[in-house]
Amino acid sequence: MNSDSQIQPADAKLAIHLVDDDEALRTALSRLLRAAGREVRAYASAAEFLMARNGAMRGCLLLDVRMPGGPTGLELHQALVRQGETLPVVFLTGYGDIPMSVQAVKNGAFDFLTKPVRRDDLLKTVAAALEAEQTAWENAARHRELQCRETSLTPAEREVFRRVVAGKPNKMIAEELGCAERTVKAHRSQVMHKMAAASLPELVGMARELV
Amino acid sequence: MPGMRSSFFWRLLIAALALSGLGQARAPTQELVLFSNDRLLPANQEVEKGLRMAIEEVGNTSSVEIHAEFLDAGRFPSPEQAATMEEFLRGRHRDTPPMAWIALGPQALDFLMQRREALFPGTSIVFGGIDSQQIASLKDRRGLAGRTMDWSITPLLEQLPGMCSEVRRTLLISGAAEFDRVLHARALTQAAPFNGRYRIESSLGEPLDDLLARVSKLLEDSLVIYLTYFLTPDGRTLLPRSVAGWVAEKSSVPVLCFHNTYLGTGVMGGPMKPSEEEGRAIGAIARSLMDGEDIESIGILSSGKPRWIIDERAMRRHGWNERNLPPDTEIRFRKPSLWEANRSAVAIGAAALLLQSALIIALLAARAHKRRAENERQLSESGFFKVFTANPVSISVIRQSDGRITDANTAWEHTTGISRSDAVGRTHLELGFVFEDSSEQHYLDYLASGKTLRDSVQRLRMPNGSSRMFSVSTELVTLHGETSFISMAKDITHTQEAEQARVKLQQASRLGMLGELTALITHEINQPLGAILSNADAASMLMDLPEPPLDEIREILSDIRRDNIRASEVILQVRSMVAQGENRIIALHPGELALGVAAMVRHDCTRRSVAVHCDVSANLPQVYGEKLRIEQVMLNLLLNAMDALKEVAPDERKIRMAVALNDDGMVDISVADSGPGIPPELMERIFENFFTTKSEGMGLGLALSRSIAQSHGGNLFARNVPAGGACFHLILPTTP
Repeated sequence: MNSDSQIQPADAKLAIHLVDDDEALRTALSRLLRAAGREVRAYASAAEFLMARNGAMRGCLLLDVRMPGGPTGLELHQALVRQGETLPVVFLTGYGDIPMSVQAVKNGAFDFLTKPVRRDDLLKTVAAALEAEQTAWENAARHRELQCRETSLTPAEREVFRRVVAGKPNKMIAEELGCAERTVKAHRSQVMHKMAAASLPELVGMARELV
Repeated sequence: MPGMRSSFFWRLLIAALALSGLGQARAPTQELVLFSNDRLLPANQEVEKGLRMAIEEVGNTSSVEIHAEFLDAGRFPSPEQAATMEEFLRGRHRDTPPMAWIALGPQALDFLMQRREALFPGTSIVFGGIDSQQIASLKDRRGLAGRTMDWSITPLLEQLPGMCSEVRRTLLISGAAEFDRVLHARALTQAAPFNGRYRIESSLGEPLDDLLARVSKLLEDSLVIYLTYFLTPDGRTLLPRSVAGWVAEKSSVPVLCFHNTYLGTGVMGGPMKPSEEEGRAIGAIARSLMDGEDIESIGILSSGKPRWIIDERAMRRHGWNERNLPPDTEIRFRKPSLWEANRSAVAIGAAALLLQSALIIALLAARAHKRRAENERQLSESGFFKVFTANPVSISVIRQSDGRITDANTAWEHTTGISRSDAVGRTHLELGFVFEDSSEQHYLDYLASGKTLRDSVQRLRMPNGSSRMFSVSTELVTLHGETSFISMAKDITHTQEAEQARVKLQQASRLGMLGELTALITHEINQPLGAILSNADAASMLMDLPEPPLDEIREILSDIRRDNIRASEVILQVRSMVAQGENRIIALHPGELALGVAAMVRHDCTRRSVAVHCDVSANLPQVYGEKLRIEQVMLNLLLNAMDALKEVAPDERKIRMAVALNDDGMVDISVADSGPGIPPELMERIFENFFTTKSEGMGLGLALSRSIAQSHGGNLFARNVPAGGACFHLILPTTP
């Protein structure tokens, strides 16, 4: 995982990106989240958020559904989804906007919270969103790492790898590849070493993740 | 150079013919393309497209495979990251070592010159997008072929006076990346000889906000020359194309640039070498290498002279004349005007407009269907064109399929304050119009239904925030093979018709409005309530800390207080709207009232650094009215005055409240602020329902306040004070 943390820029901390046009609410929510020990970045409009956005952003988004005089949270969400944004999105919604928010969740939003937001709901939902993002990010990182390991295999090792994870014994593999069983064993231990797998089940698991 | 290119072309053709029979037997040969920047850069995508066209799509496709890798040197510049990349490339392509590299951009070539022997020894390199100086500085040029691309600002500065003589200063813009800086430095050196003719100003690595603010304030005799902006000074990587768009949007003067991928964002254009063509030319070199040509004999070529490409919409917006452009200029985004596109259809639309009255507009449908051909012959074309453009009714043409405006006349431009060139190609929603009586979805449904309207009253919030009422008629016609609405809108905001329509509208949709109003009010109250709750939660969490931050908690309490006032203000408004006649009329002392209301907002004033002075004359008579409502009007005036002071320096924020007897023997309660005052053209409109200049306002405050004053037999009006600022007068009678 070391190689990944090197590539990740320093500012890519897990943060809550809060987009709300109402200054009072924005300040209050930022305060509350900070008091709960969260990193918060606040934006007054969808445009401001889009300007600041970059691919290395980590964390989750907290969006007000209704923002007069510009794109709404819903429109912003749709635009982000189109652009391949994967950060989980939590909507803040007023009483009358619930159908809109249900639609948003159907469109892939993480969850929605009705205003006024209760502290426990807010903190619980945000924590769940951050956890989901962390898991997704780790999975992606692990996937990259596994791919990297796989590319380090030689063609012969790759052939052996494919057959080992299919459950074939060394003898059968040797027959299939037309080589000595000893050679297969050597390749096999190279595969275990290069893939950093401690056991056969672990290696099988990796192969499944690589598909 | 054309000769060179065509000989390549022939060679390619011959090679393609020869390969088509043999290719199957060969294993695919791999060429690796290494880009300096990231995959998402539009220029890279275009170059890649050109490369693939030249290499893969000519003749037999199975013999050559190209594979693109991206160094992304802007984001990952360090040597360790380059080493990681080397490791990655070696591992990934171990089994199919490339026959040749294609290096695009300076960083990619640098990278490969250092590492090609370590990676895959003996592999040749075809390069592109690289300065001839960089090539000349290489010690070892063996196994290297390609096209140099010498970028220069000189031709632009030379040709500029012929295109627009009034330019006196130019602003050169670049970002903070290494690449941005190198290019910028070169541009400044090349621009130095022109310093007498223009003042050359420079913006290098400026923060984006500052840059955009600067661009929005340029004088008319300026011109922006936008180079590249890959990185902000605080380390954010951006697409130069996006920044070009933001700069063009803020700039009131033309923005020139050198990359064809920036076209379409609002920039004017400039002398450029289109990326796709460049990609194709580089691909041709790579291809001839594949076909057995010796790399040394191909050698190093030059990409030749750039050609001017101009966005016609920008040209029109800035009043440039096509005739002044260099002769081989390519004009893009040329849109036939409605008139050019379909004379006959406009003639029909315009014929009806000539008649102008709503009644006759109603006949249009029948006429259009029955007598289309006849009309076309009878009516002279130039006459109709004039009618379209010079018609006092606002006319726009809207494409049914996507709701985009395809044409608009002068009256439309005048009414909306949007120029035709800005409007064309956008939808009403994109331009910032809000349909106040229906949702966006209704509007889209209406477009799809293809129904026509007859004198339908529509309330629209204009992009500038004002609310206007229109009588709209539409007609469905086929223009240029597309079904379009011709929309004719008459501004009836200030007419008798408007009053009648408003009454009718209120009667017809009282329930609907009530629902909308409820949603609006819920939102207005929920916002401060939400802020109060979260602030209180935050405060209690902070209190639990070992050392509670008292300053912050104090700030939180003050915010809670302010939001509470904000919420109760909304409730006051709603109460007075709903509970009519609930309050009794009683005798009130105007001075006490004023001082009481001033006390209510004192805390808010302190927080916002506003000084309130209250001046009550002695021996004032009593006034008669409903206490709550009169208080509400005063509160409203005070809060408005505070809002008007937002942009004023803190030590000049003053509100003067005065209670005195006027010449008519009525009590005059005035609230004057030291803000910017009210634009004269808005002086009466501020009292209209739903008129607001504030993003968070409901637009009911002043309208409601005036009606309260009038129901008490008094009045509410505004004037601008000669010394600056606005003054509102609430006049109340002294008899019941």
